[in-house]
Amino acid sequence: MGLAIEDVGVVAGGRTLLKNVTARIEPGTLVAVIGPNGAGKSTLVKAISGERRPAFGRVRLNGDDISALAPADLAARRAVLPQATAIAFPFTVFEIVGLGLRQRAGMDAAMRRHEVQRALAAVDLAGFGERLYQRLSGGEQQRVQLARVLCQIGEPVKDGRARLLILDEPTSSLDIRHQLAVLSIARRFAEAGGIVVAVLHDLNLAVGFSDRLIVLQRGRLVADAAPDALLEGPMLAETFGTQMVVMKPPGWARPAVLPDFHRLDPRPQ
Amino acid sequence: MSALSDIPAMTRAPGDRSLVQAVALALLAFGVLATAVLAIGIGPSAMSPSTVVQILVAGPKTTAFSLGDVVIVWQIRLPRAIMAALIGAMLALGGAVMQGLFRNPLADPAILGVSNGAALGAVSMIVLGGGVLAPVTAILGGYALPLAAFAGALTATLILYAISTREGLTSVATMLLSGIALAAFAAALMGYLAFLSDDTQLRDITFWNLGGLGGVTWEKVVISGPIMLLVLASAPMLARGLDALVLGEAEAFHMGLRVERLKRLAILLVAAATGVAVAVAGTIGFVGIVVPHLLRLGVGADHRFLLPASCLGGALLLLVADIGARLLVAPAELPIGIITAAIGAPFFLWLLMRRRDFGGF
Repeated sequence: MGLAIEDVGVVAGGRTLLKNVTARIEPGTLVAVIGPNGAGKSTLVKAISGERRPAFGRVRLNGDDISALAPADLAARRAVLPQATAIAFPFTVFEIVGLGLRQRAGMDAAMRRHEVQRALAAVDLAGFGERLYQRLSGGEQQRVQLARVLCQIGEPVKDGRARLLILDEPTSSLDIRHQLAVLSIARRFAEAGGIVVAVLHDLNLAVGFSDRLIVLQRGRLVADAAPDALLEGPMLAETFGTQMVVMKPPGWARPAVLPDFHRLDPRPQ
Repeated sequence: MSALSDIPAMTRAPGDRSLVQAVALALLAFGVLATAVLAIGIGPSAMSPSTVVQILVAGPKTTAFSLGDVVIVWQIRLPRAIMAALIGAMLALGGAVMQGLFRNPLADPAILGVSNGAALGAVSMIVLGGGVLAPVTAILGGYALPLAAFAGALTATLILYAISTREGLTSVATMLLSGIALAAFAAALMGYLAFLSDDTQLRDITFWNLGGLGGVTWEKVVISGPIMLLVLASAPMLARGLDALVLGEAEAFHMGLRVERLKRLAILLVAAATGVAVAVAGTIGFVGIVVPHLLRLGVGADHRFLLPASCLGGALLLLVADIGARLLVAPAELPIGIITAAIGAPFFLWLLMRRRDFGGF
């Protein structure tokens, strides 16, 4: 059960984007994928979402090879929140979120309306249903997309099988309050038994919200460990090529990470 | 208490426009029927709408009305009205589907050279149908012209899509520029064919190229009508897929769509709709961009609404334009393409001007 990434390799145009990546993610877990630019994070997201068939190895969700599943079956078990979604046509927020319910059978119009409004309330956008999606700010659009994704995936666990929620840099256009809100939603999804894989750039959000960190570098998985364990060694500094300071304020469950401003040249004032 | 406060949320949802869209569809359908009756009544021998309806209800063999009126309604104006409505539906549907496929409201078969591709196919058949392509004419008969137009439209659409879309992303600039190049290339080949043709063929080309519904008879309706009905019947299959595609190709796949299949079907439908319309009435521009755009702006962009509404709106627009074509310079007749271009081209410019409202397409 869970998500199994088995010796996955991805090659594009003669370039190796991912090589021998193996990881196992149990139900009820939120895993953050971190790494410097160009490390292969987006490629890993494409491989585990089924969008890109790996050249080597395979990805299994609850035992099923995802490349063997029909797109509609896969869509019922995993959903993906993209980095940003621009659309060219005037859809209302209600209509965009409702797209998430299109593939779900057995719902009448009243149930669909109710689901959409519940999802909008969950992302702090109650009352936005009538607004045109194109007129919203980037952060608001991102939360609308999260509501759509939540509608698509439904419950974190169905018939004893965990569903997979993939977030590809979900917080890049969000203010700090909504960064925390979006990751709290993902956290609750995992705690209710679902599987969450989130690509994150902000190390503090990754450390604070994840059960485990997967570190990619130049297409390889270089670390897969609990946040506390990972922060103890020189791993992060080496991977990102930047000196870091790790501190643990009294009473905090998890440590916080800062770039070592003190040793930067020129130093911030 | 909480059960009571839940009720408004269950019955009323802001932003849910499905009811408005159903009403709009009904109004459009009524508008098409009413305009068709008007169009049949208008002409050198004018008839009131009620007379038209009575003759239509009485049937083509009725003796309750003068033979002249019955022949005018049943043999001349009814096939023309049916053809105007069907061609308008094809043009607007082709535009709506192409815009959905390219995820861009500026995509239109007439602007991007697809209509010219269809016209090139049709002209090839007119000029070469008696010579090099004689075996094709012998086998296909009356279907040779629409099929050649379909082949030309399909080739143009495929080239356009291959050039302007890379890894699921469509570049607007590349799309528009390659459309211009395609249109120019097809026009050049058509010019060469016209240069090759004899006097009779040249007259055929000119008559056909001006567009218009002057020569429409039941025979033409019987040949192209079934193709058009097939296109209309297969359009609803695309609605759900085009809605998902609005978010992007990767997102459509994430939502469970078979994206490649959807794109192939959309390309075929655009080519069939454009090809058959061009084969019957020549190149009529701007219907495909004006109608879907106004519907999206006024009522909504959901393709389950937009595709049928575009068919009805296109039918309505072309019926009105045909009335204009027959009235403006009566007793002569304007080519209908002049009227749609006179309305559509300024509209297209206005669209370009207000692009920044949407933060760029």
